Amino acid sequence: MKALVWICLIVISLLSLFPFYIMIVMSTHVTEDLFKGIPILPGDYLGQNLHTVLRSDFLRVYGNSLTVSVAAVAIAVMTSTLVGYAVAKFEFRGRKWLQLFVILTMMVPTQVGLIGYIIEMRHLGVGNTLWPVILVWAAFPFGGFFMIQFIRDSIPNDLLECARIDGCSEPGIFWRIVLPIIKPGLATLATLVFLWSWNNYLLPLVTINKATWYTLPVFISNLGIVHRTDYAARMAALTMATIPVLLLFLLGSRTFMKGLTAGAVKG
Amino acid sequence: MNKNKVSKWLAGVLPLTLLAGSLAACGSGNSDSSASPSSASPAASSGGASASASAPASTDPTQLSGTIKVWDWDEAFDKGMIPEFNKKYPNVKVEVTVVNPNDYLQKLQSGIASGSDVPDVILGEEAYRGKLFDLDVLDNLEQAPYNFDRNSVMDYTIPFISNSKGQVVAVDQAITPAGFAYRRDLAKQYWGTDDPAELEKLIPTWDAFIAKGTELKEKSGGKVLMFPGLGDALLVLRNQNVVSYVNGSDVDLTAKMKKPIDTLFQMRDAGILGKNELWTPAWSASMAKGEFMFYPMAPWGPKWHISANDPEGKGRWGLVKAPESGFARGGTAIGIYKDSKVKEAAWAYVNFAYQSEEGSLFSFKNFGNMTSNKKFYEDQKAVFDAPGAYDEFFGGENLARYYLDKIVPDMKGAPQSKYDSVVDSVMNALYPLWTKDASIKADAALEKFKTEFKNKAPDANVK
Repeated sequence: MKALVWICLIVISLLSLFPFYIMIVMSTHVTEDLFKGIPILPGDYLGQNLHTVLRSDFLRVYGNSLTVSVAAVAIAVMTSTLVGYAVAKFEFRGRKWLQLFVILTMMVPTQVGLIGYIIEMRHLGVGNTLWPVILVWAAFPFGGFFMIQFIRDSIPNDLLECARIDGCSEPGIFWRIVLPIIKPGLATLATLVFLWSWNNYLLPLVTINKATWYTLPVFISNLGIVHRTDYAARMAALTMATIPVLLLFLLGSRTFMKGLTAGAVKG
Repeated sequence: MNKNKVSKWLAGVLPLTLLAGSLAACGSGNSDSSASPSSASPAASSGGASASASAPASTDPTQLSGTIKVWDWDEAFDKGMIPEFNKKYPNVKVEVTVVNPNDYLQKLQSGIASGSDVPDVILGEEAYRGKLFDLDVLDNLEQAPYNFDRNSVMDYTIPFISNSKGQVVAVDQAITPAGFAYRRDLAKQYWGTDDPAELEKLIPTWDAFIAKGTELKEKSGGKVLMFPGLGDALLVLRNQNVVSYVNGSDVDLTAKMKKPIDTLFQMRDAGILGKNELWTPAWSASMAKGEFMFYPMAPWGPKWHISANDPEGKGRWGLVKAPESGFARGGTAIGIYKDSKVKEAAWAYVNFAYQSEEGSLFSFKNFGNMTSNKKFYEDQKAVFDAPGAYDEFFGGENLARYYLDKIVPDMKGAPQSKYDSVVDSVMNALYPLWTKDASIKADAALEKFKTEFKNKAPDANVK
């Protein structure tokens, strides 16, 4: 029985990893060879593909994506946590409405507000920079909703009461008691925001009109687009773009899983 | 689990589901955008010089200054052209942003709607050129400060660069007259000749084409067919059928598509077409394998289409004109944003790169682009008589001369319309079905075409 479970796990793992393997192998071939069938063994064209990718400012674009994602994580986690803590643990007028509002904004597709958002950014004087792609995370409805649920379920009210009785200030309670407890939630949200902003395509596409500020997805979609699509070079770029996200997930997977399941079952 | 717990559980799972959904959506968006950029495949280039093609108002190029923004997908072209341009116009700075042609219109529309960045020089690729013209964002080039003379370019190209009001709002990046690339080895083996002049005589009409195709299929035991798929045949037939099928919101699809679909189904039923879809891996690979005789090809094709997919194929390809008439394949129009602050500088670049003698010469020698400017071909005749970069690949045939002498003369220009892209997308959605299901007949196919068209363009009156 145990062997069967292991075999199933191995098969599923292989199936999940196969696309990644193929992506890496494809980046070592000439584009035209990719069309002759799925390549299983690595080719000898990796150097040339890397050259194609790197000669067009890949490193700067990489830096842009990192900047955007790190800033997005910082800003989204901060605002979401504050919103979550306030709504979950404080009684104030309009609290329910606020929560409803957060849920409602989650249901509005990004595309609907896109033009308005671009106009807003232009009036703020930050059009054509990285700011529009970062600031969009300052009001992140899913993050707010997630943290409301997470904090409501994982922080007992009694704990906060005890802290207050012991004389801890409100900011002190937040920093010393709440934040350490919700670490798994923070890690989960951070990972998701990182992934999301790393892969974001539409927003940078329409807000950034200077190649200097392109992020990875837009850059990759622009690789080899004249009459012939250089898929192999794109695969090489994708491989390089995927690795940090994979690493991040592997490093944070323990806390990440804990965060995902927290609140699902309550003791 | 009590009710309370269920609702909490739901509250936890629901957002994750939403998140997963949206992540998946992001993924597919990306892959869509990268799926078939090359299918848009316009032609590159342009050219022609000539005094009549209007010079910018300022007589001294060094006096003209400013920074112009260009959105282009072909960075290599601009990187090559800008230094040449700056030799003559040292004080005009050209900033290029690389934009994928698949995203071009969306990005442009967002920019216009939000009043933020819009390029001064706008490119309209075949797939969305009609839509772009219809947005009314391009300046009329026949007015000041451009004063472009429509008589300076090849007559047949005028409809390709005019909007529905008949104003010339763009210049061609390059002319895109198309014929067929053919496999010399197969033609020699099955038809006894690989000479383009002889082949022309074998396929003067589509009926003759079908007859030769049937003969080819029989002689090769079904191993060699005429076209790799219905898509190749249909694009030729559709583009050959130059009719003015749009009048306001009245769209006469019968006039536009009946004849092409009828001929296509004759070919399909004769079994002379393969089953490949355009721009798929199998389609690309078929070029090197020698399974099909013909591939529709414009001047951008030798480099980007044939030699790219059959790198070992030097000497085994040829170029012959299509039965009945030439047709356009691909093509990009270059216009100037009507609210641009640097119109003169923008026109200086467009005129230099795509119409001037210096720019056209540079463009042809480096990129194989052929300008639409008539005078260029008179002044630079020797350039086209000399061997071109891909002539050897095509068995020593002078490709530029063949295009100019054999195909261009019977070219007709198609009026552009915002419905062109709808026709295109319906066509691309339907021909794979016609490939798979041989029971569909031509009449039913046309009706289906109209229904699908109406779904995608509900505002149109289709007949």
